[in-house]
Amino acid sequence: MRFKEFTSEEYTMSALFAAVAFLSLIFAGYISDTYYKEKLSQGYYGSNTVYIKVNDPSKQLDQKSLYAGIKDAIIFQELAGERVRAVFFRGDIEPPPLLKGRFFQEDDFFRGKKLVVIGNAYNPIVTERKGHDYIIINQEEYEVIGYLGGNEISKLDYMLMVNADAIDPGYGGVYAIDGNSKQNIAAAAQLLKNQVEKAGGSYLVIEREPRGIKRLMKNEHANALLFFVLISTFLLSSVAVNLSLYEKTKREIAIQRLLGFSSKTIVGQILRDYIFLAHVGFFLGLSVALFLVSYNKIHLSNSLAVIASYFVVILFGLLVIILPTMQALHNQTRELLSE
Amino acid sequence: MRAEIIESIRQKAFLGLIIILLTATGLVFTAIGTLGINHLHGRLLDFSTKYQDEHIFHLYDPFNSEEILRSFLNESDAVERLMRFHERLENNPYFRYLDLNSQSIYIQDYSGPEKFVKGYEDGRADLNKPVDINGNLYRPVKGMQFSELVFTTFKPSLHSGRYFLSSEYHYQEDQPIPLILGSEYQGIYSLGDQLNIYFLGLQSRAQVIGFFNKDSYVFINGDIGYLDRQMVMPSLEFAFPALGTPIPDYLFAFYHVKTSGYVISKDLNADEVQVLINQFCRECRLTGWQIEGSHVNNLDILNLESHEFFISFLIISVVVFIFTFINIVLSLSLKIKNNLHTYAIHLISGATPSDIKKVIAAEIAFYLIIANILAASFAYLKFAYIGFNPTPLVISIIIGVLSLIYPFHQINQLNISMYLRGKR
Repeated sequence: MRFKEFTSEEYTMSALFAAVAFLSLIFAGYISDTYYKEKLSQGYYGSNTVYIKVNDPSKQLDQKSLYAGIKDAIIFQELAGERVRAVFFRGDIEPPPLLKGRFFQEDDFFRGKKLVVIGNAYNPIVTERKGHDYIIINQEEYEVIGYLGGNEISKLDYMLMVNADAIDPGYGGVYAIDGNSKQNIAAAAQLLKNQVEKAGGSYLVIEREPRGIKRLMKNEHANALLFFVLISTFLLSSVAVNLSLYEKTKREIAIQRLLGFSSKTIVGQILRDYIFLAHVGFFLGLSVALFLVSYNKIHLSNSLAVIASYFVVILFGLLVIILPTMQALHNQTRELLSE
Repeated sequence: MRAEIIESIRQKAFLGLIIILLTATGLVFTAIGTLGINHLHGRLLDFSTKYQDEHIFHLYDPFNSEEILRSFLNESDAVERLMRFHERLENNPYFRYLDLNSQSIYIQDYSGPEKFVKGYEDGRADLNKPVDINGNLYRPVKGMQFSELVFTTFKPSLHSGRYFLSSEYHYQEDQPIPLILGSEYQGIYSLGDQLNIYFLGLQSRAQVIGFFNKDSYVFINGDIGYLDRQMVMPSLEFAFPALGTPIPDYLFAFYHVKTSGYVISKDLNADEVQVLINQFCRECRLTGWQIEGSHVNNLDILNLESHEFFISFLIISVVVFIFTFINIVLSLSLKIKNNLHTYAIHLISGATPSDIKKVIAAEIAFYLIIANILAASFAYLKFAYIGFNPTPLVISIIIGVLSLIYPFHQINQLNISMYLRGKR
């Protein structure tokens, strides 16, 4: 494939693609960071976490069935407030940040293991043996598989989580259900409610007051507006570039037509050029973002944000390219030359 | 000249609209950002006046067992010494003492939602069933007790009503205890409503005198304590009973709670504060009060969050500025290019290049003024914000001056004869 020689206008367009990619990445990173800090400030419970108080079941809940039924959700049972929790999950969940070690894995549950993930505050009671760390809970030894915490001091430093099947769960208590989507949380909550009813108990959904920094910062409104302004900038810019490009493209298309190029060939050539420019722009934006990440100036949320930003660039590019091209193709050659 | 400017604006008016909207969007972004940063800065200032650079210590009493408590109460002047200790804590030149506590308040015949009941958040509201006190049923709701210093330190704002008067911090038997309720209580109680309460052994009337704004907060127990579901009463002070009159049981309970507040100091470290506490204890013939650091973890996260916002916003601002600027210049150059034919005719008709440049400058000024008006109207409608913000204005001038460079260059390069012959 041979690319034609690009003009300064096309390089400008590539720079705009780079800016779109970069802005999308930064904004996604910022939003994801805000979400992370909100979770961190309320003991790693999310804004959508559902809290259920289980009352008076005549027998223990069948946690194994519950475990088998949930999908992409994590269930915490508060054993001593929110600081000490029993936990199990299935599917894709967002694990808490760890200083070292690992979080639980699906095959840690209901396999007779006694595992624990602890915050820094428990360090003094950790004993090391043959390269493994252990702590004693209720006269029983648990293997420490991970240390909770991030770069900042948080509630995670005082937390302790054990795999739910390792500890006597008692008959009632507060369960917190979290997950990656409201639907998965609702489905897991419904399963828990069914289990409670099966065990002859009752439940109460607790409307726990959010205690994170979001309420204090009150920046959600500003973030939404920021997003709106960014989108508006992209759209308006796409119109501006679009018009500018039309002026340039129309003569080129007219000449190609006079030379006998078919519309298919013309569109193919334009798309090839556009794809090249969009990719140059995207990777340029991504490189700048990664450069800033390496200097710890910004955070990128995850690979999903990179993929999302890629699609934003492509969409922006389509707005920029397709419309003037279609407009130019629709017009007569004579009109294109005389305009 | 005016006719030429209007004619220039009217030609390819759609491009002019794009320039206005792009500039306005960029300016709104600046306005949001400036406001956002001001807001954050204000919030941070708010925190810094509370806790930043200050050491916070929670004061703990020594009554951690029933035996110790009974033994203390059996001492003849125990309550009087406790009251003196409290006075010493409140009036000392070394540190500020926050008489701030979280004790539930029992409400007679409470029929409100469960979410206000003590223990609700932990799933223990059902353990706090109504209790019979002197023939009436009372239920404990979440409560806090503030001294005057708590209000001056945290400045929780009111939605309606008023703050406690200085005189209301002193208990008067014939006066109802004033209550300020969290925002979620609105619609359940109204200003002026009277309630019968039972608090730490004291039965009294209470009256709702205000409601806090939503999301009002104090820092308590090393965390942010939101007040939306709280019933706040003054941390009451009592006159010591006259000689010979019996000491009411509630007096010890009140001063026990009042001596478990927070010490805030800029200069003193934990050891130095403990030495002072020990000294006050000795003066009041007491022992065992201990302090413990009470750092608010979420403040660190908050500081990080605002730092992240600042950095992200700064980077986004620079890129959006360049991005918007390129697009404005692109649109402007296209517009000028389309107008070149008209400019060429003007030049033939006797106008000088300087006149044409003035027309272009006036046109750009027109776009920028409209864009500024749009941005200011948006900021006002969205934030109810109106005021002089120099940033968008400075940015407008920069955009204006920079965007003139290329069109002026185009005019300087304009070859009239070639242009009129149809070559562009």
